[in-house]
Amino acid sequence: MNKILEFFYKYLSVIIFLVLEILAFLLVVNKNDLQRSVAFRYATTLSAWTYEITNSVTDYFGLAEANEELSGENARLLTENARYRDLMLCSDSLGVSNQLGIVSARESYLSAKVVYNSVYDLQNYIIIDKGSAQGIEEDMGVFTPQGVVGVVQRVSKNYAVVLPIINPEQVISAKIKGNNQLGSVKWNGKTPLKAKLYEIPNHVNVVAGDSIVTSGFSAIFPEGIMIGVVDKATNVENTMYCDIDIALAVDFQSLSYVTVAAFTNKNELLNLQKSLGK
Amino acid sequence: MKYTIEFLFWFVGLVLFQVLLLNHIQIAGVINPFLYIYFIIALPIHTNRISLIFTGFFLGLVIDMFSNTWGIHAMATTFIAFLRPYMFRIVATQEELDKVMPRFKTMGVNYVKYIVLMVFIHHLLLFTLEAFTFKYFWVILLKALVSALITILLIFTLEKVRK
Repeated sequence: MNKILEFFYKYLSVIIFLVLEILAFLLVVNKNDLQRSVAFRYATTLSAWTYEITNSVTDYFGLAEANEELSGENARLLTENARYRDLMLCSDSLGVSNQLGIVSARESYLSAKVVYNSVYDLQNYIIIDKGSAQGIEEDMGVFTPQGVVGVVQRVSKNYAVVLPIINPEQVISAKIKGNNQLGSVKWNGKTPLKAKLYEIPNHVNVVAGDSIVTSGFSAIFPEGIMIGVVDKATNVENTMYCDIDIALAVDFQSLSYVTVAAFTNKNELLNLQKSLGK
Repeated sequence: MKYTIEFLFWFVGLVLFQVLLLNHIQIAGVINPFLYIYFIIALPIHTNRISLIFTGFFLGLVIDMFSNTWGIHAMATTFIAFLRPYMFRIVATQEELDKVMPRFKTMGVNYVKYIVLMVFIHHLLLFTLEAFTFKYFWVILLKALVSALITILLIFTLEKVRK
């Protein structure tokens, strides 16, 4: 009996030691800024890595490859298209600026694969398989051919976290196609199919079926990318703004490949805006 | 009881000395002695393991509180408190283990070995946690070595004064 107690006693001290060490370690990674950021970086990489492995099991090999090719091709064409559009806009009759090589594309596009996607949480988020090493930066717009997905929020070396429209913290600058009325799109927190459009004054005539597209003012998305269509618009009495429900264009439940928009002169624009005190 | 009060004074004294004076000493950005672990080193040889571990954790936590390094000292100090009985088993003879207090007078060279091991392991763990990466291992090792040397010198000065 004594021996057993002695054994347990010895064992108990090890257990207490481990518990206290774990407690101390949790303090280290939660209360110290440097240690917390390092721990977060590892955690993001690790979780993205596991999601990627589970995903690759569910992906058909050939299908994944074909999709990736198409998606890469799409990004390349978008970049090329943007370059031509800018060339066309900026060309003068003499073509001097073109010859001098002054004009370069304002935006380029990268394709990425979604490795994690949550739809039914309140704080939904998406992880994509491209990161700082591939040129992804914070505040880049993410979209699919259907429409806007979200904005890159955090970047690690090979992965990035995207805050989708269907996250209550995401606000996207939008306009009504046709009359160019500016507003902002925000999620209502209920279903991944719907969101709301705010800041449209009452006098504007909004009808169901109107398209809502990106404004292109914030150097996050190019102009005119589909966000959704108006589902229901009602004039609320005694307020200045309409109450507008929109049906989102992107099916968040079946995201697989996305395109990331990168603006070359974004920092310049941001600095200029900052200097105005905005 | 006599010991309890004596060690209580040691605890308060060492913590104050550490946070008020030694924490502000940083010669060449490398030397950073942590004398407070002398408290763990000087506890009676037959202190039971569990109270040792709790004491270590608590001591580290108090130092953490004053130096705003949540958990870093607690981890390192708990670790050497846990190792202490094994250290004795490695360095000390049975005869020495029958003594009450671990002191240079009673243990001689083995006491030096014991202190060097305890201080060095503690410092190495502490600086690694502080940097939180293995990228600068050699810098950390150098820092631990030099700081441990100063801490050990301080401990022996303290022993001289104490008797």
